[in-house]
Amino acid sequence: MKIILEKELEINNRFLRGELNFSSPGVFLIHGENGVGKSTFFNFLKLHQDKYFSSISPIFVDQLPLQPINSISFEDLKIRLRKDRREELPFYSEVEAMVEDFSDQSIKSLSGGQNQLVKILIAFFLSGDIFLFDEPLQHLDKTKRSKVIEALEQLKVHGKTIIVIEHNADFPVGFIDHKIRFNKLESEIRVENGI
Amino acid sequence: MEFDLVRIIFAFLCGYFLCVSGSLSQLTTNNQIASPSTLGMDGLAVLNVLFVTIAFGLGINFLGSELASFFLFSFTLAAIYFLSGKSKFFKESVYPSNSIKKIVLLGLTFNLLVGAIFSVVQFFFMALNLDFPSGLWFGSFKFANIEWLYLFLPLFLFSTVLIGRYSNELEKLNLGAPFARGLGVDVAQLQRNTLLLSLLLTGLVICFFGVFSFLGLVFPHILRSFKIFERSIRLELLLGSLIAGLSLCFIDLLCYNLTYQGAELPVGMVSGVIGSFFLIFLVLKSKI
Repeated sequence: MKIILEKELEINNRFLRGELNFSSPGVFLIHGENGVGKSTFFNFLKLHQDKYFSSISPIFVDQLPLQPINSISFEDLKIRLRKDRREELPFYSEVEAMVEDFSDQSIKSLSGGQNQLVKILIAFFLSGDIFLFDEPLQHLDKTKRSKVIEALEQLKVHGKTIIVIEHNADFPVGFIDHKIRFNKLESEIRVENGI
Repeated sequence: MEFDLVRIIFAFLCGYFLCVSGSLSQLTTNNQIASPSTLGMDGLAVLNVLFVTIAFGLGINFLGSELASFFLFSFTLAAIYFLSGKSKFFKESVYPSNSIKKIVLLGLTFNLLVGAIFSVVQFFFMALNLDFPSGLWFGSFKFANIEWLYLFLPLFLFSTVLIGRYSNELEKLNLGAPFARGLGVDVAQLQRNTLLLSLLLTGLVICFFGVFSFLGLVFPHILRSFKIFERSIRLELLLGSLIAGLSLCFIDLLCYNLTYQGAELPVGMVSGVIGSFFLIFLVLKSKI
């Protein structure tokens, strides 16, 4: 899947230009300094998912916490989303152990880290062809971080494509296949591959 | 205890419509403060009624004021439907939290403005000794007409079917618009349709029976304070709103029977008072 950006996306008066080639399967890390437009790009992909992911099903996990207006819990949510489940990943139950302690609590009442885990779990529960995460490790403690990374590795082994935006990437060696850097230049933001 | 079946039916339908309308506006905006009153829907419908009142005052008389108001309101709704299809807001409203704040502020201001226009029009009508629907801000079912059911029943079915169809997507929207979009929900389209349905139902109630201030805000909150409704949007919308309808029936029945020297209190006022006390109670118990 190739995305060529010319003047499609403007970030703070600069166009994001370059070519992104998400050849599956693989793990792609998007990095760059703060405010360079990584999350804006993430939302751009989300908004135009029908255009860029026409033949495959993507699943996006963004930075914002879930804020339901009622007291729904993760367990309730699983029942509601059952129909939309695309497949059951073989390692799903292992991953679900991460939220065991609070899976019956109202999502509204969860802490930042717990809320983050629920978001990630929803993505694993529903599954898709390509997983996009915007800072999946935010708000998580050290143990949870390594558990999420383990789960992402399983996902990779299972042949899924993963696109991840992360700053302090303590990912294990060999997990990331391609690095993509957004570089802020005088007149544009350049997409640089393999750096 | 005496009762009037026509009133009971309409009180039920209006309670249902107001609750659905409130639930939908809160869900769509992912905001607990949203309601037909705070989003300015009340104001828009009242403005339509005012136009018709002025037309009637000038001697242009057709259909009866309720039907004429709704007729005009349908045109407004169609115009909004058409314009919102072209609007950038509904295409890019994936991060609506900021825009929602703006809409709530605009809605409240708009309601105030309509309130002021209402007073001005009232002033001139009084000065000219013309008939004015001064009770519009406090709804009542006193003048319910059984023939209106030809309009209300199809809309009851229509809204129920639509909610049933959207309930799965609404459950996802409940997690927040950005996340729902990430799960593949066409959030912009869904928000547009549900807000318009909410506007239609609110307008319908106001054109025929007047404003039931804040019932749309209070009903969903009361429902969500009960265990069976706190965890399911589908139940809240499909079953909860029926219960809301029944409770408005009950309040109307009270108003019908508790008269003072032949005059009865408008049910809109009584339900508003009961509703606000409930809401204050819920807020203080921090259920919200």
